[in-house]
Amino acid sequence: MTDPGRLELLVCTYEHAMYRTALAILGDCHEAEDAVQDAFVKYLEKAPAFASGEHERAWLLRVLINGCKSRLRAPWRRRTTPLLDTYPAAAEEERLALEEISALPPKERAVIHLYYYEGYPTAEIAALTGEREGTVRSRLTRARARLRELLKGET
Amino acid sequence: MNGYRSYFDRVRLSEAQHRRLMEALDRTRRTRPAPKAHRPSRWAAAVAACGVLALAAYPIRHAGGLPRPSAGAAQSPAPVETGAASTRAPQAGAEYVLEVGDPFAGQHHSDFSLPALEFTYCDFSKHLELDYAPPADYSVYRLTAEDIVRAVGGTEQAPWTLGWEGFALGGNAWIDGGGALLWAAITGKRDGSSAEIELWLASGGLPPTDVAYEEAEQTEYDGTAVTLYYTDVGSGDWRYYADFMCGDTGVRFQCTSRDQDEAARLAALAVRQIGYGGFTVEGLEPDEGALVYASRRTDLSLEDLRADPLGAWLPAKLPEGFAFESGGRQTMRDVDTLFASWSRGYDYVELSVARFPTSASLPAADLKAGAVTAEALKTFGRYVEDDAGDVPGWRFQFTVDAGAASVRYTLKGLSPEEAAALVNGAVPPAGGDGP
Repeated sequence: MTDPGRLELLVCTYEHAMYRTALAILGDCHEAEDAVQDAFVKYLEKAPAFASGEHERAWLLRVLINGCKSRLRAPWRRRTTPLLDTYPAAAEEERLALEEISALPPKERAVIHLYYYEGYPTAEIAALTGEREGTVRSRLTRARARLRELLKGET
Repeated sequence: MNGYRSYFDRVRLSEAQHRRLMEALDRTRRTRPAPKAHRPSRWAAAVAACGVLALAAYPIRHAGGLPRPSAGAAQSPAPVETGAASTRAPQAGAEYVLEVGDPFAGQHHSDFSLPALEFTYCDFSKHLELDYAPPADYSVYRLTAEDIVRAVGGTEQAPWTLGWEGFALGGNAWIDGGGALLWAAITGKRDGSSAEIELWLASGGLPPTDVAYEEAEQTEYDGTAVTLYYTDVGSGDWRYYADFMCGDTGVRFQCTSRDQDEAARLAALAVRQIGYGGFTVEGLEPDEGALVYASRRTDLSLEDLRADPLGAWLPAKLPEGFAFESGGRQTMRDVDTLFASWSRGYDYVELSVARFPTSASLPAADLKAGAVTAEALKTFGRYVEDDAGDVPGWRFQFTVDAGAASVRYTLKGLSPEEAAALVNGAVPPAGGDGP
């Protein structure tokens, strides 16, 4: 993948979804931007071939999520700006949802975002996060217990 | 969650962020070396070089001897269940075995449409281990010979275009609790050859696999996207893979053989089958009488797990920071399995304890209880420096013969010393019934 035109097409196709996922996990726009850049750099380095667009998307997300994990494990992290300061909520419902979900641990935030926003089933979330499906389900269960009010009406 | 969704629907990279991203990637693209070129397969190169010879007659060949399958062949895409019936050898009556004869009765014949396909070489040591588990409730049924013929697009026999003469085939179908087909597997060995094939089929997408290679490249055959790759699995065996969709049926084919040309040829013929009707899972509805085993799973709390008779083999003590995640009991015919997992960040400890009926012969374990040392465990582990950015550290997978039970461990993030201490603190000496 060295054709600049194809690279830009790839970036335009996936950058926003990847940025949202990184934001959901890291909670800071600068870190999320760096994480997205790192994932695309890895793509350039590995230049993998994919069986389908779904496979391509899943690969990029997995690399992104692994990059987010590394950032969270770093011995120091720069001071982060609360997400709502960078992207203010447009309604009270949004503010409440962001505050509740931002209070979850990053691992649970990741699962909540991938499940309820990206719509991935638990088996695919397990593949994306490198965890067992049982672990993913446990995280969802715990997060749901804390977000009971927020999840009324969700399946 | 509507508030969460509407909030994130508005979140996008700004023009300035996108520009910064593209500038950074452009700098990277211009300064980094190109990715390693893939070595074309020896078989594909031979085809290209030989031209007409590649289309020459393919007489029936029977290599001498029956070499044992390589150890690498044990790493099949099958979701391996403790105590599960083997998907490899046809085990039941004649109605469940398809013996593929020679439609040309030993006469030489030409096969002029052998596709010249390029398989990408993948380094076996760098394969990715994926994890796929079937649903909590599922059943496995044997496929009849008629089922197998239908699945591979035949009428009374397997199509000769597959080149499967000499193979004895069996198959299984996994059906979920609602009666829907999860996937089907057809496997077999060729008489007089080391060749073994596995054909996995699923509806609506590719069947699951627990092994993947990042280097595998996609190409096109007859308008269909196909992923073709091969690897050296060790002990002189080669394995060729072909993954593709046949209409709504997902297909994963693999052939393992000491004869590299044979493995490559059979994989190419499987791909060629796309143009001859391909493979299908339509109409695959096994009879109740063909049930191999049913699996039922119940989730349990840690307290219930420890109170279970098999709970005696759970580790009494885990390294600091690990918390219980989940566990349960699974019953598969005569085999009871207790399973449990703990996690610490992205590290995990998973084990399953399987008790077999006394009449059954236990599967061979990697280690015996009492002989589990840190040094011994290194044989069943690998230290990973870089796994797509995942945390470096040891990963282990091994089984321990604990006399009345077999305990399987999957560990990530423990040192060999911690792993040995975990095992030795739990499994009673062989022959004991545990605390």
